[in-house]
Amino acid sequence: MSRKLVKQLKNIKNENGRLNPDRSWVAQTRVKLIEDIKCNITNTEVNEEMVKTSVFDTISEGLHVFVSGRVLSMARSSLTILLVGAVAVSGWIASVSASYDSLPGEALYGVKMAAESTELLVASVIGSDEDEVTTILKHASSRVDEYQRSESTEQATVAIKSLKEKIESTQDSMDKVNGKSPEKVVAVAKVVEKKTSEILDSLTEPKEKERTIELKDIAPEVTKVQLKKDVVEVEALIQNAGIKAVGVLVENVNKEDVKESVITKKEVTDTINRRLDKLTEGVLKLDVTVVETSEKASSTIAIIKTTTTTKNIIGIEGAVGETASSTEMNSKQSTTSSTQDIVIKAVETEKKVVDAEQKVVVAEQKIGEANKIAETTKADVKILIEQDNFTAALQKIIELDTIKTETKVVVDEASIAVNIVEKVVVQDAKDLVVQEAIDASKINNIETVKVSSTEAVKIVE
Amino acid sequence: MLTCLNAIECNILTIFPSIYMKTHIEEKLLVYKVISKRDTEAFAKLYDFYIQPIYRFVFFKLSNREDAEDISSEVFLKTWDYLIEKPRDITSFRQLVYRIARNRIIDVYRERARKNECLIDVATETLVGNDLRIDIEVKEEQQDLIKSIKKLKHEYQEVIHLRYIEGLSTKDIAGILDISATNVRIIIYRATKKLKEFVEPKSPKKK
Repeated sequence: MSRKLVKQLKNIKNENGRLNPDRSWVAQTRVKLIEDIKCNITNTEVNEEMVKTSVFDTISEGLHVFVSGRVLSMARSSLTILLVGAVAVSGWIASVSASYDSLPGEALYGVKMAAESTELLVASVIGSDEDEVTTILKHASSRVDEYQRSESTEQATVAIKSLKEKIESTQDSMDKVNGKSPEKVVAVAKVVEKKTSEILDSLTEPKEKERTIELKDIAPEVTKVQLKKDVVEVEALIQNAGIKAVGVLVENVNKEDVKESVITKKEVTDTINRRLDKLTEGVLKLDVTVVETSEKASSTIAIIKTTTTTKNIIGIEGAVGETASSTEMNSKQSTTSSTQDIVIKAVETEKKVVDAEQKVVVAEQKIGEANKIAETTKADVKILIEQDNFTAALQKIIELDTIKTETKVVVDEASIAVNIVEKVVVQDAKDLVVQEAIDASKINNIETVKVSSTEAVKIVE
Repeated sequence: MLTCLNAIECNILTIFPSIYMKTHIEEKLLVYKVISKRDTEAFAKLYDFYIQPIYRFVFFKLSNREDAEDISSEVFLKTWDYLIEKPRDITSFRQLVYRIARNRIIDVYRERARKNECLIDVATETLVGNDLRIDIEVKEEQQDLIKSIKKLKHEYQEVIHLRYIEGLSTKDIAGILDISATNVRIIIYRATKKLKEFVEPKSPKKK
């Protein structure tokens, strides 16, 4: 626009007096406006008693007035990141390192959780989707470690529950990233596949310490059984997450628009083979568990037989007691009733043993089938991979996984049943021997004491 | 004599606004006083600074003195309420006061359209034809320029007024019209191009 025109436009407000307000009107309006406002303020004060503002509110209002909204929001974001970063760093230095080995319920465990939350927050704000998932799975690994090092069922339960949450949020993250570019989707899927496999390995291989802990754990049997069920559930969840990740990789390798730099057929082949190996290995481990359970069941039956022998001894000793004096008769009556209780208890236990035995038989059948399917799946998957039919290969793996999960449930049930029965049987046998010793001392029957001592030695052995 | 003094005062205010509002910070300080302490004196100072631009803005669009006065006083009352009720929503006092004025003008347009009292195009004639032409001595050149501006569509009139008559920045105009600064630049470019088309055929050079 020409300078002349701009000048003319500027002069409109200067030279055209009518375009400007009348001075007297300006002054009158000013007075009226201020009066109205003051009246308004007074009414507000009367009605609302003036809301008292804190120092922070005043500072906040001041910031809003002097600093533009965009700058303020940017500054706020930067400050938040800075503070979160500072907390994360300082926290790590001060106490996180100390709380690293803490277990659920311990004083420093809260610090550990807070540090993890901060770490996750920083990863989600600053990092990529891949970083976020990696952080979540890192925390999941920590939960597995805590589970393995737990000193009570309670601690183990807390760790497993937290692990479950972590795996669920991993799946959520995978779903969230689903609509994004193939590069991001594949990157996240790779992380999930790798990490879930590692976590599953750690979870299914308990450390030796756990066995010693079991002995001094005072938690009720129901809680322990529930924990085992939770562990099985989490294992299935982890396995599902891993298979889902493999599914994502297969889906993307089949897409024509996804470059080889993102995912190659070799990578998918390796992943599927690795999964298959893990599954067959899992089936083998179950087979070993079944054999161990079966052996345990056999030894339990041996104990039952021993207690039956003792019962017979009690019977003989009962016959001898008939010729004793009247005083001895009184003591004899009481001892006979207590030994009878034990005998009834032993009969009940025998029934439980039979049930457990049946479960073991079912488990043996199931594992036999699972072994066969595993072999067939191995052969099928090999052929399908050679044909580049990854989807069908994955389907086979999913089927084998389902079989394995079903078998694991049956095997675990048998194992739990045998363990419970074994404890009961051992306890019954101990009670019987102790009772026998007491009875023997009462009737001064040296022969019976000798027999009882022999039986006691046998049981202890 | 009084009219003359008024004119001088008005000119001083418009040419040297720093007399009343030395710095932008000072304006922010006044707004802060209003928000935090409900300081009426601070608001009165803001009124002193903005009453004339707002009046001009309203009058230019409504072309009626009484309406312009009523709307202008209403605008400041509404501005006070807004400052007290929604202090955190304010990014710029200038943008806020112009935006409230603009919204009020739109309301008046709607009322007029409903009542069929005075259509927008007629209002254009009123501005130039009645108040400006009859009451005040206006140079013929400026009168023609105002006529030309009034021929522009409302969007163009707004930006020409805010940018060249009031001297507002593109950022402020964007805030007032609630559009992007880039959009404002484009509208200004088109508006000035159109205005030139109306003005230049009458210029001596073209003749």
